[in-house]
Amino acid sequence: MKSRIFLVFFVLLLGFLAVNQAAYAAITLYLNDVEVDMPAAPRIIAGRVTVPVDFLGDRLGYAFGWSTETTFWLDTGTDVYTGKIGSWSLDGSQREINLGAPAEVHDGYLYLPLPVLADLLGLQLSWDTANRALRLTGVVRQVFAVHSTESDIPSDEVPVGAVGAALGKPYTHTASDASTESKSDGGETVVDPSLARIRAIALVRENTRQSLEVVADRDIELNISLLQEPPRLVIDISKAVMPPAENLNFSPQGLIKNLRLSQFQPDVVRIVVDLGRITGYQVEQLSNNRFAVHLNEVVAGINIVREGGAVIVSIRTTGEVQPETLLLREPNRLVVDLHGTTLIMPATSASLSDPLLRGVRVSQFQPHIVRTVLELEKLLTPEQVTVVSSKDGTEILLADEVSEEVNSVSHTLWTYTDPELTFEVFQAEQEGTSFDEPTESHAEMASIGIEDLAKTLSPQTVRGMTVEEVGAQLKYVKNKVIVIDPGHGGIEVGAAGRQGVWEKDLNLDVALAVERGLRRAGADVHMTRSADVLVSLHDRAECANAKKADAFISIHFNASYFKQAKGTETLFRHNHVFSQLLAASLQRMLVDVLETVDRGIKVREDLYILRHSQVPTALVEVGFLDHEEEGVRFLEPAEREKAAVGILLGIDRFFARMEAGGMSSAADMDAEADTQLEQAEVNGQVGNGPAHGNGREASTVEEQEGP
Amino acid sequence: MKKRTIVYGAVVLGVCAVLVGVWLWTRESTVVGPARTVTVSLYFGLASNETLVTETRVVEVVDETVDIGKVIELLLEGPRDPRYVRVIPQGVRLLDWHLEGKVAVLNFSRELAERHPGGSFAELQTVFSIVNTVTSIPGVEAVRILVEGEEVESLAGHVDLTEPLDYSPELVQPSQGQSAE
Repeated sequence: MKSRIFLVFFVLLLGFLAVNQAAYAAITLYLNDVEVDMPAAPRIIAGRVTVPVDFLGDRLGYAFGWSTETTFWLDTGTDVYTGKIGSWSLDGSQREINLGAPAEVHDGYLYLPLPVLADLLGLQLSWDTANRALRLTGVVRQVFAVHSTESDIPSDEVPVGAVGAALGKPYTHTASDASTESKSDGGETVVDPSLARIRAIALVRENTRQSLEVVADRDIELNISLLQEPPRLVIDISKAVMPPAENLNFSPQGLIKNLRLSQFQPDVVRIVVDLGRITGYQVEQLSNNRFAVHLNEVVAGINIVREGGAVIVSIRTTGEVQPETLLLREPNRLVVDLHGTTLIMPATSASLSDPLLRGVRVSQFQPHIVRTVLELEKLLTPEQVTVVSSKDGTEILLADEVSEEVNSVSHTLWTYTDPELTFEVFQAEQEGTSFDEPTESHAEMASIGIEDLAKTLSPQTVRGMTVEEVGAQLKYVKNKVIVIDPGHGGIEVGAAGRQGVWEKDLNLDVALAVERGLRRAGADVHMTRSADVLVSLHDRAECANAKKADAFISIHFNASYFKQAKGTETLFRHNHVFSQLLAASLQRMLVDVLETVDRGIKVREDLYILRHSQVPTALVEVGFLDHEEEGVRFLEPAEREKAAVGILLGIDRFFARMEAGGMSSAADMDAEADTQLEQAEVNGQVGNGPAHGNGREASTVEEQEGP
Repeated sequence: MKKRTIVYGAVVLGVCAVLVGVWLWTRESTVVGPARTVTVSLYFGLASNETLVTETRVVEVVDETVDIGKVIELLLEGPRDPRYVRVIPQGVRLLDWHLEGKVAVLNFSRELAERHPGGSFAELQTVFSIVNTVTSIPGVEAVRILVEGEEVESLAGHVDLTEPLDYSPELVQPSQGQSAE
């Protein structure tokens, strides 16, 4: 009887355990939102979620191997840990890691707790209750040439003499590994014990900059040469041997087109990295047995433009880099260092005629730093310097004190581009699309930027034209998503104009004219209101955000308490990289067309729509309704049409300038580029997760030297 | 055993002494004289260069607080200098106010929005005449403006009033500003 009760209890317990395991079998593991397929389901050991570590290395970015039948090693990129089956801890060179559960083997796989693994790899782990999923996020190294075969046995773990004995049976049981086993069993197991063994080749991506890591089990020396035609990097590792050649299964990514490994000489391992183009590199020794070869991004061109009260310096690079700026005195200058970049064009300098910028110098300051020195006419404060970097390069905005003469100027001050590279970058952006039209010649491609600005309409040529006529001539707005916001409406009348006219009606009239012009030009125009109705500020901003507008323009007329203020001003906020450019372009053209007092562009942090919009946004104040002259002037429909023409030209100029500057924004990127970006994010190649292993700076520094 | 009791007793007494000392010390430092005053800056418009300029007033500190209602009253009374202009619509009253930490919540009558002349320039002048004035009171760092007890998006369709606003130097004549305190 007693034994029967015991049996029932035992069966119940077994059932419970089975259900428990089954429940965990349904759990999925995601890495940066991509499902990681696992060779075996996670298990609960000692109350902790454990995963089979043997085959996750290539996806999670570590190297793993068996030293003996019961001991294993795990190389996370920052340290090598060793462990034993049944042991509750891992030994690292710096510290001992408490696993919180024993390392156990089930169905031929070694299970280790996932939280510990995530921690060692610098990944964030979270539990997604709704989807019953474990989510890992962070930057992942891509590991190649990782073997769990005998060739990888760290010599400090197993005496060399014992190698042959320990080898024969790698612990794992998959088919692929079995084949490796038979291959490596071919009698070549005896190697010179003084030679280092290559343990892993890992690809690391920080922002867009790629690095290749070489990890061996003991001290190694690297000898690198950069060769052309085809462009490739040859890395010779002396006093080293590599595991029996295995197909790396490498698919091209970024700059690296292929990776080839071979035992070049009996004691030299050669890695050939086929590159998409020539670039500089930087070798970093992470430890005695670990090197990183960083591939630089290339500076493709520099464009300097005077845009109203600001000078915009665009440094285009083949990928995102970390800019570091430094304001220096005597002489006044701004130094911009782009870390991890190469200048293939020759170093150069030029003098410029601009009230703010006296000259510019560009050079390869250090093997991995391209330095641009902007010689300034006057001392700037850090607040006047705005640095923005994207995957296309770095843009530096120098805000000038807005003075009358300067404010009306807008032109390209200097352009320095690499024709080859301009073409290549262009082509790279088109990659993957069905781009079968004959491409233009290199030279034509390179010059496109400078000619762009000349092709935009000038205020003089449009004199007397209607918005439709002007719209027909706009070249850069086609298919752009543009949201026009006529200020106020309904019971919210806005400022009071002369003869009982309300601001809301004038705003709408100008806005509808702008809409007609843009439609004629083929733009995708949306209006926040097209009639005299009340629309909340929230809904206006939301409209632009929802449409993901390339430009959002709010049209207003002004008023003051003083009755004597007059002129045009455009307000913006640095809510988006290109808001200032939009504001400057609109202000410039409006002032030119209307020939009014230029009150300049102004940064306002506190205006509702500027604060809640996520797209390039500007709020135009065409003129003062309570001013004696201006109040009367804008009662004339012809004058309001002029204002609309000014806004149309400003919008066209904005998009022309975006193309000319060679800087494409998220909004400007075509669908293909968007897809690429998303893909990159999915792969964990873009992001701000913990970069591992090296001490490179990753912050923008803006500081001022003492007197 | 006895020895231990003595040691415990000494420790307890010591701790008490320290606590009393701290209490006395902090108490001492918060006691203020009967007629303490503070200087606040009132912000008005200056037509000649379209900026905000300041006039100072001395107000009393009672129970560690400045009566913000009194300061707004002074602001609504207008400038003494004839060149200066009040940039708040006529008929506006402050209905009530209170402090939420360092944020002053001011509840104005409907005239603040309804009688506003409109225009972003005028609206900025009005809002920051109030905000800059109130943030010149020691201890006040930001201002939230309500109209008839309600949160509004803005007074005249531009300035965001859904969040507290702090001192804005851009509208102020460069030689003046928050140095008056």
